[in-house]
Amino acid sequence: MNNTLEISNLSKDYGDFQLDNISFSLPKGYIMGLIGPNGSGKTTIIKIIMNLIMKQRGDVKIFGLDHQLNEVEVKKRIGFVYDTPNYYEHLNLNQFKNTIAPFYDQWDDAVFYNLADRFKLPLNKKLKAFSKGMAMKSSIAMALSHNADFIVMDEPTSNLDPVVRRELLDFFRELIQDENKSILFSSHITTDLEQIADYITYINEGKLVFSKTKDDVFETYAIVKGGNELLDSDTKKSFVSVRSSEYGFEALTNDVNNTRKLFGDTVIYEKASLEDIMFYTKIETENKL
Amino acid sequence: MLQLVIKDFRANWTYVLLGLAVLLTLSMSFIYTALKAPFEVDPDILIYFLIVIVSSIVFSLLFLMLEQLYNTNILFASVPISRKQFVEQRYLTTYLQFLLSLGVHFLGLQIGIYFYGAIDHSTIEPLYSPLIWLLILIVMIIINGFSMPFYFKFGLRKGVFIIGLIQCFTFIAFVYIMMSFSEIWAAFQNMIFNVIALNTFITIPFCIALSLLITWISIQTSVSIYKSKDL
Repeated sequence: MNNTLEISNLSKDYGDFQLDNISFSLPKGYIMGLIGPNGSGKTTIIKIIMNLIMKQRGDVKIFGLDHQLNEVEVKKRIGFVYDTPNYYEHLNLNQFKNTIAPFYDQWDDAVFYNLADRFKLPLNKKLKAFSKGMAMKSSIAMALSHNADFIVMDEPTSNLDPVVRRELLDFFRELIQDENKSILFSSHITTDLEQIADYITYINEGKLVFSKTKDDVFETYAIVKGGNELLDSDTKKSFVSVRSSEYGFEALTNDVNNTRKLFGDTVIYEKASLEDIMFYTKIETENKL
Repeated sequence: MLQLVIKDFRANWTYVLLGLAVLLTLSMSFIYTALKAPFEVDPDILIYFLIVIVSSIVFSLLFLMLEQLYNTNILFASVPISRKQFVEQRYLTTYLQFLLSLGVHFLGLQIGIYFYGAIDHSTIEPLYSPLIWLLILIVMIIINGFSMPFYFKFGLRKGVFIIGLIQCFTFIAFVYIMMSFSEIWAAFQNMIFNVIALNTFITIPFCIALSLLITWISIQTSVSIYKSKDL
């Protein structure tokens, strides 16, 4: 069993929002970044994985086990970090640790205190007095103190300043040196994922745009710039979406080889960032509506 | 599952102590004031037991309130416990809170009587009846059995509102029936009292069995609601 997470044909209908037939998998020992604009369905997917939200169709397997039928077994091996902390604010970190630790057979106090020390977390300060960065670091320390093999994080860096974000990304990079651990990490801060993710799964408007290795993404997607005279209805079809101005066009292609065959050296090719991919895909979706 | 019960008390012990102190003061001051008034069995004892029931039920909602306040149901739904265990634990915790609050009320009663001084104990005999305290516990268990599925379905705030509405309508319907069919109601009331008076050794086990049945149905309903609930 090489996949830590396997999601197939996952669907959930909220009426005004649908998660539509999502399938992807995360191999053991890798970091997957789940990207997408706000409201695209990232948190819904994470909540379904954690069985906080009930799926309507599809399968979710974690460590090869159905996540609902083997809920307790699976959750023993998951460390979770949510975008907003859900804890008793009147407790201090030590008391909070004492509340959570008994639920895990493999809880390791030494690991917890080590992480608290490394993150410079005060053990006796009330949680309500913690800054956002400290609260997030506390959640991460909790998630990693029971020897979890799969870390699920929903927007762990979204409210953090650049210094704390960098610290955490370095820490995740260290963590993944253990090849038994896998991380699923949702974020709309794509630069974070460009730094640490091995796989990128892109969700837009509840639909899977792609799920592939980061290298594949950067090999297939590119920003193309050229003169407007090169654009016609046929050539436009080779792009995800196009922006034109009086000076020329700028477009995103998801098949750079094909685009090269089509345009040769008459256009300029630039590496597309995840942000570019998200931006142009969003334009395409909006144009379709 | 015991861990879940312990975590509620462990994480919120200051609130528990505060709540129990309120219950103690309530019992103590009510009895002391009632005895000074001077004490009348009817309606003072009835009012006292109503206070005990209502305040104990409010106290039993403490953990649910804190859970809603801090959204900790998401946290505890993410640790390795099943939703069924979570629901069963909530019932168990509530019953422990009932026992604790009844114990504290009884203690408050003793303190109130002690401060009042010498008293003819025959006038306050019903306050010492284990049977009445047991019946109060049964009433609370039955009320809890009806309320819990609403809390799991709608959350505490909406749940309390809906239960409140149901209780209001039930009360109005009850009063209406009592007033409209007073003879039939009186006959029915007499029949109930006669049955109870006939043999408490039968009626009490019957009440216990009824409360257990209601609890069992309530737990099954809550589990099926909570298992399919989006958090």
